[in-house]
Amino acid sequence: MQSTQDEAQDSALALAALLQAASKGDEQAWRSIVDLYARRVFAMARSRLGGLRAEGPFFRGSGNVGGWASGNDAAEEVTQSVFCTIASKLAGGEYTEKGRFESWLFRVAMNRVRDEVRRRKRHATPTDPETLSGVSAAASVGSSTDTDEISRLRLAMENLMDSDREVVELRHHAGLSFKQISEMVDEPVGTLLARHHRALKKLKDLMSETPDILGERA
Amino acid sequence: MSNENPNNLREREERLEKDLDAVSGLLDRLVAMDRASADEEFEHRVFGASLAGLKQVVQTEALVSAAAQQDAQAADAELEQRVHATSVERLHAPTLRISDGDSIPLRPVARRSIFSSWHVRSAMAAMFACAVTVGIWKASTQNTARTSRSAATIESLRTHVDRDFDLLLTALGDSSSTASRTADSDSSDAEFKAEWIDDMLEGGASS
Repeated sequence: MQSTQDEAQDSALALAALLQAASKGDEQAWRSIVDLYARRVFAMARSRLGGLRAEGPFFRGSGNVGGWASGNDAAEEVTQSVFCTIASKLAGGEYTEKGRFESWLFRVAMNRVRDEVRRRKRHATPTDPETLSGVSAAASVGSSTDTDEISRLRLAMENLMDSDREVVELRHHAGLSFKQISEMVDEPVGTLLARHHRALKKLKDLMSETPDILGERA
Repeated sequence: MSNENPNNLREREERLEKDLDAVSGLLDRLVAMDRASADEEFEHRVFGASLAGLKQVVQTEALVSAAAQQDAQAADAELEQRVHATSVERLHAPTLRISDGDSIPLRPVARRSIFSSWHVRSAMAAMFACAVTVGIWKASTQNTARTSRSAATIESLRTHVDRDFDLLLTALGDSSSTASRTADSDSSDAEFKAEWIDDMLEGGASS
């Protein structure tokens, strides 16, 4: 236990040093921060945006059909946006390190993901048969490497309540502790534990209900 | 109340927890797949995109401080130039010769309008306000005096007319006392006296 605490303290000090250096424009320090957190942010964004379609001429990744982008492209776009915001706030002195960098980073990321989800829901979806068939072929809920179980899980995630889904994504995709999530969303740890437990139970129930649906989609 | 065997209940709870652990494990697998789905160049692209923001702020701050420094230097240079020009001007200013041969350089007089002084402007404003106040007061007192004079004049004329009217009646042989005069005669007397006063005020001949 003592060694775990020492390790945690050492990593916190190392992070503080990196943030200090990055705020002064140190590229190497900034690269280290990006390497530490970029994929976690990407996974969280991918989980939410993978099931929605993006519109616009800016998405040039694979699976782009008539302007509709794949989940990976959208998640990367959001991740880049998040780190641009973090970088400018660090360099501008708007963040003071108090051991809460992760909570702050993922709060920014979660807000960006929510904004993107809202923005996409406002866009009109195509109804002509050609575009619809192209979209359904190219942009599936998950990727082609997903197993049946993983696909069912993704589908079940889309049917969770927003508040439950956020706790799951912050806990698993972002890799935050319940204490960090509590600081981020300003709710008691007990509430979050209960919500997480309820969300897992819901996912289990939904997954057991969805095999027929997946059979139709295949 | 449930009649379920406590052992069955415990087994059900354990089974539920096991299922939830399985879901949690599946979630972790999903997360690992999602994190791995980004290609090798992903971090490099994120770094490149965000570095511009990092550098831009730092560079902007450096530019701002450099610009401020330049402005300060330019202001200093300009001030120096003005001081130099003024001192040269004074050096070549006309001088006043006095009897013992010494000369005193004339200080150039700054030609300023008398009205540029705050004190002068305040004094003029106060004088104007006084003049207006006096004018208004005078006008109101004259009006009052005029009104008072009119009332006094009429009162004096009425007294005069009353006395003359009595004399007139006496002269006409109507020396009846006030007690014997009727209301009608009082009314006609008053009407006559009023007309008399009007005539006097207008400057016409008495009836």
